[in-house]
Parts: sequence; C-alpha cells; structure tokens
Amino acid sequence: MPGVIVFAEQRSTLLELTGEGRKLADWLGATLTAVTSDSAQEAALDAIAHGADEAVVLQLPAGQPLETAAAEFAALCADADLVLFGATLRAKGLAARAAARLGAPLAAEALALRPQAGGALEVDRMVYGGGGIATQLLRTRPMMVTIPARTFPVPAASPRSGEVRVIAVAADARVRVVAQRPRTQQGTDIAEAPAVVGVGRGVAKSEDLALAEALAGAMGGAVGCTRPVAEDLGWLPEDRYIGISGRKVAPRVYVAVGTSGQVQHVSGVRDAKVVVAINKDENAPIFKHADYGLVADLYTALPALTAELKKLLG
Amino acid sequence: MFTLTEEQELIRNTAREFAAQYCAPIAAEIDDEAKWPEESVAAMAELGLMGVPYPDKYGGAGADYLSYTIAVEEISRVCASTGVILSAHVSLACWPIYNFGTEEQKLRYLPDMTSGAKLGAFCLTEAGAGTDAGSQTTTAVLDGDCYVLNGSKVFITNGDKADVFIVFAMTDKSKGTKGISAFIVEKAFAGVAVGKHERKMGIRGAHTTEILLKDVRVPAANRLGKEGDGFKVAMATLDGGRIGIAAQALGIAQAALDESVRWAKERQQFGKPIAANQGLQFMIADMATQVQAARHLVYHAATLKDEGKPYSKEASMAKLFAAETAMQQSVKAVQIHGGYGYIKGTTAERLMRDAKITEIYEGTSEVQRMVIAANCLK
Amino acid sequence: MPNIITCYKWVVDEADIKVEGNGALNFERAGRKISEYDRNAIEASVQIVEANGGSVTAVSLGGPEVKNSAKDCLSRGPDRAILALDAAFADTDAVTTALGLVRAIGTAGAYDLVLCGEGSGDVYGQQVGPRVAELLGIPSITFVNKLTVTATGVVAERKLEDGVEVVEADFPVLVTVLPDLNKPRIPGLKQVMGAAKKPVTVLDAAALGLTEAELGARAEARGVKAPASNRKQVKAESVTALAEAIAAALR
Repeated sequence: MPGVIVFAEQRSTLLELTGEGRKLADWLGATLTAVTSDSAQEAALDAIAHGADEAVVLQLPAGQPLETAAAEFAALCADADLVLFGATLRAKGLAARAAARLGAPLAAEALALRPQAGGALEVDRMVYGGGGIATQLLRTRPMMVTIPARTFPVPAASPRSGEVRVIAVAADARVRVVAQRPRTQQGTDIAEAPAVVGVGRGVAKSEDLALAEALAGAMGGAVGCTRPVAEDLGWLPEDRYIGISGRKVAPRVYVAVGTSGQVQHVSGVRDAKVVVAINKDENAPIFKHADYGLVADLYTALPALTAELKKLLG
Repeated sequence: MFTLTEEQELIRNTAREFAAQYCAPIAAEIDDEAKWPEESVAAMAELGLMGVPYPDKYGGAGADYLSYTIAVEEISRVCASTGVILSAHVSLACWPIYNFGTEEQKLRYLPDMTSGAKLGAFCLTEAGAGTDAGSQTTTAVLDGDCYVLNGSKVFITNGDKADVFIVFAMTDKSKGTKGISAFIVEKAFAGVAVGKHERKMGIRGAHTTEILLKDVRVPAANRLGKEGDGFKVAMATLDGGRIGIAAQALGIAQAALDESVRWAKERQQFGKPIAANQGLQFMIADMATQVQAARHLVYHAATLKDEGKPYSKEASMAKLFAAETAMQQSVKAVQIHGGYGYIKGTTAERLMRDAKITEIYEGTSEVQRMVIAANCLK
Repeated sequence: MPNIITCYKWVVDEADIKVEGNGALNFERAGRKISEYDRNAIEASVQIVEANGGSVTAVSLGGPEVKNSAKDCLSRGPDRAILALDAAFADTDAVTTALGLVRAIGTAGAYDLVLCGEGSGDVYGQQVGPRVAELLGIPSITFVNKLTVTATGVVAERKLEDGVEVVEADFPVLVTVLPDLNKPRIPGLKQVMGAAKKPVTVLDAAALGLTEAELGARAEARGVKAPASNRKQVKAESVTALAEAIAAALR
C-alpha cells in the first residue's frame, strides 16, 4: 500500500518511529503503517494509539529468524513511499533482504532525516569509522532508511483506532534458530542510564574501575568503556563498550575518564547532552569533544568529584 | 624514482603490522630492561622475515634487497633493537654464506637460517681491531682437516643468541689483510663461549656480547672462500650490511619525525598547539625533507644491489646520510618535546639513544666518508 | 570439504584522510586497503579450509584500481580471486554492488558457504551481505562471532543486542562475521611472493551482464564532511565547578 511504513522489533523504538513516521506521512499526504514482529505484538495497538493508521504483526513460525520475513515484508513495501526501520541488528538484515527484493537503496543508521521538495528525503549518516558525515538525497520509491533507537522521542498517545493485521510468514526449512541465550545484564544497561562514566586505557588497573563505579553511583548512572577495555583487557563485558561498532549512548551526562578521544569512541557519545572529560594528559584529543574538561590525575579527581556530587545530588 | 612494486608494498604492510603487533607493545620495556624480544624474533621467523632476499631454494622468501630494506626500515621505526637483530642476521650472517659459500655450505646452513630456526652473527671486531679490521689477533691454524681457532671477538650483535657465526681469523699473519680467512662456526663447536654482555646506551633489546674462541676445531669445509679471502668477504659483507643499517637509521629518523609531528599538533602552549609557531613548522619541514632525502639514498643503494650494479659508494652514502639524519632528527624530536623529551620512557628519548649507534657500527661515519672519497677520487 | 566464497571490499584507508579547514575530506594521499571486517571473513574462510579441506574463492567489486587488491587478498590465503571491475562500479551503491557480486559468484562454480564482513570500513552500511544472500536465494546469518562448519551446513552464533542467537543452516548459506570471530593473520613473505602465481579473473559490467538500469545511481550523493565538534570545550577550574555543571545537567 502507498504510504509510510515503520518497523521495529522493540516497542519503544516502534513508538519513536511511529511519532516521526506520522509527521512524514502527513508531509507526504500518505497513510502510516506500523509493523512489528510477534515478539512485540502488544506494541501494534500502542502504535495505533501513538499515530499509526494501521498496524501489521509479522507472525514468524517457531524457530525462524526475523530475516525469514523478508519476502512478506518486501510485499508490504512494494508500493510504499518511505520505510523506516529501527536499526537493531536483526532488523538491519530484514531491511537489507527486503531492499534487495525491491532493488531499492537503503540508507543505514541515519542520523538525521530532512524532507525536501518533491517528496525527496535528505539523510545524514556516518562513514569512515566516524571520520565523516555523508549526506545523500533519497528520491526513488520506496525510500528505505534504518534509524538507531532513541533518535526520536516517543509521541503522546491519543485515543485512535485502526486495524491490526496479522501476516503469517512462510517458514524456510533451510535455517533454524536452535537456541537463544539472553544477555545477562550486569548492572544497569548503559543505553538506558541517565549518566554514563566511560573508562579508557588511562585507567591503569581493573581494580580502579571501583572509582568509576563510585562516580557513576553518585550520578545514578552506569559505567561503560572504550573498545580495548572490553575486548583487549576484558575488564568489562562487551555490551559496555561505547563506539561506532559498539553501543551508542545518549545520556544527560557522559564522563570520559582516561579516554584518549578516538573518533570511533567519540561517535558513540555523539548524542550525549553534556560531555565531560577527565584526563591527566592536557593534550588528549578527548578535550576537543567535551563540554567540560578537567586536567587532573584520575586517582585524586574521581573521589573528589564523587564526594562533591554526593553533596549536590544527595 | 621509487614506485614500489605490489610485493614491496605488501612486504611493507607485513613488516608494519608485525611491528605494530609485536614490537610496539614491548619496545620501551626491552629497551629499559635490555631484554631480548623472544616472541618478536620467533614471529619474524614465522613470517619469513629472516630470509627476505634469498631464493626459495635456500629457504628464503625470494624477495629482493629493496624489500628487505623496507622491512628493516618499518621494524626500526617502531623498535630499532629488533631492526638490528634482523639486519645483523640477514645482512651480516646469511649474506656472506649466500654470496661466498659453496653450494654445499649454502644448502647446509641457509635453510635453517632463512627460516629463523638458527640465528646468525658476524664476528669481525676485536678489542684492538675495530675500523682497522686488518689487525686481527684471532688465529686459525690448519691441523689435519680442521682449522683450530683461538681469540676473542667483541661487540657481537646477537652474540649470545646466535647459532651460526661468521668468524674472521688470521691464517697467515705475514700477509696482513691478505692473511685473513673467514669461517662458518657453529655455537655447538667445542670451545665457543659467550663472554661479557655489553651494557649499551641504545638498541638495548639487541644483545651485544663477546665471543670467545678457545681451541675451536672448525672443519676445513667450513672455510668461507679461499684462504686469505677473509678481508674481501668482510668488506663485501659490510657494503651490503651498510644498506641494512642505513634502513635502520631511516626507520629511526622517520619515527623521530612522526613523534615530533604528533607532539607538535597535540601539545598546547599559550592556548594553541605548538605546531602553530612558524619556528616549529620550519623545523618539521626540514626534518621531513631530510628523512625523504635519506629514503631516496637508501632505496637507491638497495636498487643498485638488486640490479647487480656496483653499490659500495652508494651504500656508504646512504649509511652516512641516513645515520646522520637519524641522529639529527632524534635530537630535534627531543627538543620539540621539551622537558618531556628528556624523561626516560618517552619515545623521543629512546630514539636519540638508538640513533647514535647508526653513526658508529658497520663502519663509522668517518669510514663511510673514506669509502666515498676513495670512490670519487680514484 | 566446503567450497567457500569470501567477499571483500578495497576501501580507502580512513587513517590517511585529511580534513580541510572547511570540513571537507581530502583523499588525495589516501591509500587503499582490504576492509578490516572483510579480513575477518577471509581469515575465517581460510581457517575452515585448513581444517576441512575445500577451496576459497575471493570475490570483490569496484573501480579498475581494485585490481591492485588481488595480491593483498591472495597473500592472506584464498586460492583464487574473481574481480568485478568497472569504472561504473567506483563508489556505486549497495544495490549494484550486491547485483555485481552475485553475477561474479555465478561464474565461480558450485559453492557451499559465502562469507562477508559485517559491514565495510568506509560506508559501513551492513547490508551487502544479506542483499547478496537474498539475490542468491539462500539464507543469511548476520553478525556472527562463532562459526562451526558441519558436513552439511553451519552452526553460527549471532551476537545481538538482546543476547546470543544460535542459528543452524544448511549449505549453501551466507554468513557475515564480526571482528571478534578471529584475529586475521599477518601475511607471511612467502605468501606475499606466492600470491602472483594464483589465478585472478577480471570481469567488467558487460561481462557480468549488468544493464544500464542496474548500474544507475539511485540516491544522489550530496557530499561528505568531517563531523563538527559542537561541544563547548570549557576548561573546568576546579572539581567543585565541574561537579556543579554535572549536577545542573542531571537535575
């Protein structure tokens, strides 16, 4: 059907995209369809309340990966103007396979969408490992875009009605999900935390993470890290490393502790409201990417800052 | 002039990746503790770096001398100690066997050496015979089918780790330099012992020791070249070795430039990076120009060698210029770093100490000038 | 003994990109390299064949200069290379890239497994792998950091946001791999010197049967700029001042 389609695996992302999708559908004078997979079926009704005209639930046969739905999804998109995907890893695969079926381009991990004259859409995305922002203009239909979670706010709900359709996905016997091992959350999810302390290689010993934990605790936040701290040193689980190939966080405050400021890491905190850098090397590039910089030894600065924040916030 | 072949570029990449992965994490530590880089040497063997310019028939990689030069440059850019371990092995130990050895000697020794299973060292210098290599006191006396060697050698790179030594000794003292002969001596031969370990200013990860020879019986079949050819073998080997040391110096000089550029862009004084000062910009411009000029001389000498053309003069020019460039640029790197450059453990400080030896070993800068002058004036 | 196709991209070395005063990127002195993620795919394919037998065919697509990638790639272990090279492929989009790769794979003979990096080091669209699978009509398993090959297929662990998903698939299947799957070896000198002896096939757009429409640009590129830092870059005078700024942002 012509119009705007939004897809996300998770309820929150689906609602964020529904909010933005509604605006874009109104701009294009089109309808908005919210699509989700059965893992978040209850989200379909919510999506209607948050602005969708109709909702579609893709019902996957047991033991099938999401990407199996590419054919059914592509059929939904065949006449669409615009399709937005919440950029989870599974959804990226679904988007790519559906786009391939339609011969359509797909702008991955868009940072910004700007409607242009004639129903075209200007999209920014990161390239060269965070070293560049590429801008492209999408025009041919369907325009397909994946967007990271938390790019848009969740809109207000209103009493609206719309049809919820269930589409059964045909099974592909050649591929089977044989096990799921949910991520064991160790501590707070850094992507959800209002404040994040990011630890880099300037921290000498794994025991010193306690200083970062204490600071995060004082802010009601969580501890993340740069890639080497998780992958090479193994001090923190891999779901804590922040960067272009890791997690992207958008806390109110991000405190970079002993991180050099490599573009791959910095691009993961692009959406933080306030970035603070603490490093004893006054020449560390991280200071160029920070709102507030403090040149200091971590072992004296962190406990002092933690104590001050406890006073102010406690 | 030097558009490298794809193979040369790929060998540069391999050397660069090896240096980043194996040498960079330990370069400061092996310098500080004068520690032999065991894992790096093993990895060089695994990657085929220990026999870069020798044919497949002798276990080598079958690449050219320029490739080898590039490998030494890239490794020395990160760790000059590791660079000289490689250079001493390939240029000074493998090469005389490859160039002067009989087919039997080549097949017997080179495959183990080019694969890195056995490490080589070159034993020419004695306490009283440095630049004046002709005044050798080590003797070799024929006794049946063996030569009996007695004497001691000093400043031997790889001394305590080598399995195969190229040893020079007097077979006929009355003939002066024409009385010197060269021998392939195995560490396993009775009477070969490692003497004193030197405590050096720089290239501290590479080991430099005495080698003591006491009644060492060396089969006559291990004589390299004819009796009395030793001096010729030594001088020809050093000609090629000079390209290796020139490459090492080039790597050090490049590192000094890299460190200076990085620091100049990052270091803030008076609210701006020091690179914003024209005085410093001019220093960087001069350094970069010197390094590039040195590179051209070094690659040119290696290319002449690859083409089978005479290269003695060009090798000396390359070694002279690259060594002086390494010294000058590393002194400037320390200056650009200011007080930080004088602190032990900074890279600039290590580069300055490592650079000095390149003006001394395998022919001092003065000897290089003698060689160049002799070539110009004859 | 699986026959493996491993796809790679010859990308600009991002470390060589210079930023001009106006934020424009200057590629004048930028070298090219095999995309880091694809090195993991090449390494995985070579390790599988070392353990199980079989063959590795490397496939790449790009402008004519991508020819220079062949020896680099082959020094990493593949048996042969098929290069889809055409001026029309320089900076082309994922639609054409996938189409061209599929046509090139079509010339390679029977295959069991196609391996790709999770994304490319330059554009990082993370989509060419699954696109290729869709066009080949085979399943894809993306973002894999553990891969086991059986007699008839693969068992792969996908590292996803919500945990690990273990997926089994029959041959032929396409897998995209994460950097933590393995550590690519440094090519040895003998492998470098031996690369020239391995077969390389070059096919242009016409040889691959690609039409004008299939090569056409679908999105209009509007330039690339360095990301501007919009941070305040204020030097905190004291820990107390910093604490106050943080508290203000959190309240």
